[in-house]
Amino acid sequence: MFIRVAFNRKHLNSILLAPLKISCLASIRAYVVRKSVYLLLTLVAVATVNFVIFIMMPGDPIVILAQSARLRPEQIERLIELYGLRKPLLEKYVLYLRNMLTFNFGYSYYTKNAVWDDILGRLPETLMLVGVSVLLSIVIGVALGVLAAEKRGSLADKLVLFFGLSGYALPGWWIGLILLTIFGYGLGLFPLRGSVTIPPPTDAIGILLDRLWHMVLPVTALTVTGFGGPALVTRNQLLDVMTEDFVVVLRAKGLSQRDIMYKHALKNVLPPLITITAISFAFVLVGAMITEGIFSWPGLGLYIVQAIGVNDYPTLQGVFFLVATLVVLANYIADLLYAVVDPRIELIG
Amino acid sequence: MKRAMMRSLQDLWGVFRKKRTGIAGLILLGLFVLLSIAAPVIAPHDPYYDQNLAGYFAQPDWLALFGSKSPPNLFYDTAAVLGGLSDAAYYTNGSDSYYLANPPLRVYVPVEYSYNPPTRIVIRLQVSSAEFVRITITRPDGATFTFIEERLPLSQSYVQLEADTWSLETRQLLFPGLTYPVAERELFSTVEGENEVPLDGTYMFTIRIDSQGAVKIKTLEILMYGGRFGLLGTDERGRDIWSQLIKGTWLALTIGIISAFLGVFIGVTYGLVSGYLGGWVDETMMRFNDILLAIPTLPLLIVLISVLRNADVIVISALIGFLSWNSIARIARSVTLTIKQKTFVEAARAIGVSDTEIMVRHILPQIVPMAYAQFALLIPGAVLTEAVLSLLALTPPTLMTWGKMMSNAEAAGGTMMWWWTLPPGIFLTALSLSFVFIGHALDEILNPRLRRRA
Repeated sequence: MFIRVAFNRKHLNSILLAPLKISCLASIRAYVVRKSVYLLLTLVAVATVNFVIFIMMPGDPIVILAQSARLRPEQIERLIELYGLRKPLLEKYVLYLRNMLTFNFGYSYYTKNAVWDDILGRLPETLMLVGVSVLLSIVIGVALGVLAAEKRGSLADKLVLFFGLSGYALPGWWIGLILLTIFGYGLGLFPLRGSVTIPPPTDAIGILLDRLWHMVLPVTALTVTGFGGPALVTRNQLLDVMTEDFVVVLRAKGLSQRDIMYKHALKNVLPPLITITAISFAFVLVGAMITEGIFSWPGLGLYIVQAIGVNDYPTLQGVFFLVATLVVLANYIADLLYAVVDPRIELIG
Repeated sequence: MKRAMMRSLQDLWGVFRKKRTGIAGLILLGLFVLLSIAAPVIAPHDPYYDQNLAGYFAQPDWLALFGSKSPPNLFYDTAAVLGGLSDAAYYTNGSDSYYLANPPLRVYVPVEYSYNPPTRIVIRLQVSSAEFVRITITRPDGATFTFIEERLPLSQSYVQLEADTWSLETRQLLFPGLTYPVAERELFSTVEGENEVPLDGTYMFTIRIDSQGAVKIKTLEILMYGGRFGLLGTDERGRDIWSQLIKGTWLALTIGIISAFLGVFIGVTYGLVSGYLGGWVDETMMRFNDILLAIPTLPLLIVLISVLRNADVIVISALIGFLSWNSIARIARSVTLTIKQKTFVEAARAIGVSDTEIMVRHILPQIVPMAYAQFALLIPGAVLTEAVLSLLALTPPTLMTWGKMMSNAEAAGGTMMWWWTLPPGIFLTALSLSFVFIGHALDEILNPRLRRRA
């Protein structure tokens, strides 16, 4: 929800241009190394933030563990050892960093399982939802963006702009709630909860159809709010490119506006599109966590909602760290891809 | 500084009023501000504490126009029941006020009724010097049911009697022998074949009080809680949804403005210092900023607030603000970098103006217009973020924001009651949209990349 607003155009431009500037300074290899160092630094920062929150927690963690947790005594003892709760602060910090970076998150107070095992069980559900939504958002967004740029100033352009901007203001989970009310409760067309029918169908096609049927509403909710970013970026980038000198040359050569747009200008949308995909991924991932709660989709979002209800700190911190890692990784991959698709970088390198 | 800000505001307005989206956003925002100013008048109930205003989950009042047979609240207070009685006299004695009447006392309260059954009936009686009390209801079809039947010890102090159709005791007295009676339905409808049909006509409440001497009656209320109330009905505790919605406007504006102000303030300061000082300071500060920028805010907020517990509106706004300055720092830095090169800064430095003064007096005013746009663009994010926190039940229950309303509706199973779930979402979207439009228009004016194409 929050990332979306951070991504007004000016900010976006500065993100888009950042790797370019760096690439002018160094070769591809140095660029990759540099990006990797930042990746690691960011992960350490996330873990540190997690640690500070852990320290900030009111009350003595050992006492809280002993009182509120529904864990077995040996699990509590294991947690105390894991977090080094009886050790000095610095040692605690080092231990914590190591635990986080090795995905050793401790035990969930609620399910009593290792948090990492719980996460592994739920992550595919979330990634499936997010993957399909991001894909749809990008495809629809780019198509609408091209359409808007091609017919600049037309009604279609204005509609794309309006709905793209509305995307910044629309909460995806609210759309989900309304869709669920109308098509789930009201018309009974789609299931009210979960990702599979219980009991699940047995044949392969049945399983696939059942999955898709359950995905329609949550994916629609996420896509409605997700396509605005890609659409606006595509439109603006295209319009920007169309004012450049090479376009004037092409026009002088006698190429039609359509040819220029599709054969020459559209290529230039690819680099920012990679960045916007990474941002979309982060934004849809976070959005999905809330939307999952509405649809009782058994992924990370529902897991975190349940964890909040019972003050399950190890789970909360584990999920936060994982989500942050995924977001950072998406940006990292986008940065690397950027270097691949932008020929200017290789020229200099 | 103040003059510079005023002047840039005036210049901005000159261009801004030609932007149609911006003006649309401004009008929308104006409506919201009007609503929150008028809130005490048009939304009289407290969003949290005024409970039991009607039955739980009441429909909006105006649905009656479309043929809804939901009953309104039918409340008969002491004055309404006893005021018309010829042989009861009203006395006030210090803090004690009561009706004095001679037994045997018979009070009849006829109620014309042509709706679905009420959701709850409560009868309260505070009486002294009474020996026998019986309160009954006689249906249009002649059947009579007893709410209260008590033999009392003769006493000068007040005795409190209460019948409540939601208490097991009252239900058993009304329908002895029936295992799980739904008292309101049993009273106000009859079974015809398979269907329950509401029984229309005159219902007669009869209050009978016997005693040796004069009886003091302090309260005698008959409260029939209805199924419709106000403009948007009631929630799961009988609170006025309309009041929650209108007062939520004020909360949303508060949260949005506080956090956006904090975000812009920190971001501008950070970017200004980083850009002006340059060199390794700039490099370090920007790398640090990049790292923070990569951390997703919402999950972090969720963890923070669930650890803090019971954060109030200021703490929540502050946290959101503290986590939203990173992109602004970047923009402020880039603006600073261009202004730093200008000759007037050079000149100021040459005549020995201090760095702090150059930053505050000469560079800051140039960043201010950009800050307006960022301020407007930060608000919707903050409001939506708070809504998510409320939706996850992380904010205190007394903080009745739009998100909290939706969270309550979902938790209480009121998803089908569109008058409950839709309005907060529409308000949330509309308020966010107004700021997005304003911010977008400002951005278009102030961002040279966009201006060239316009």
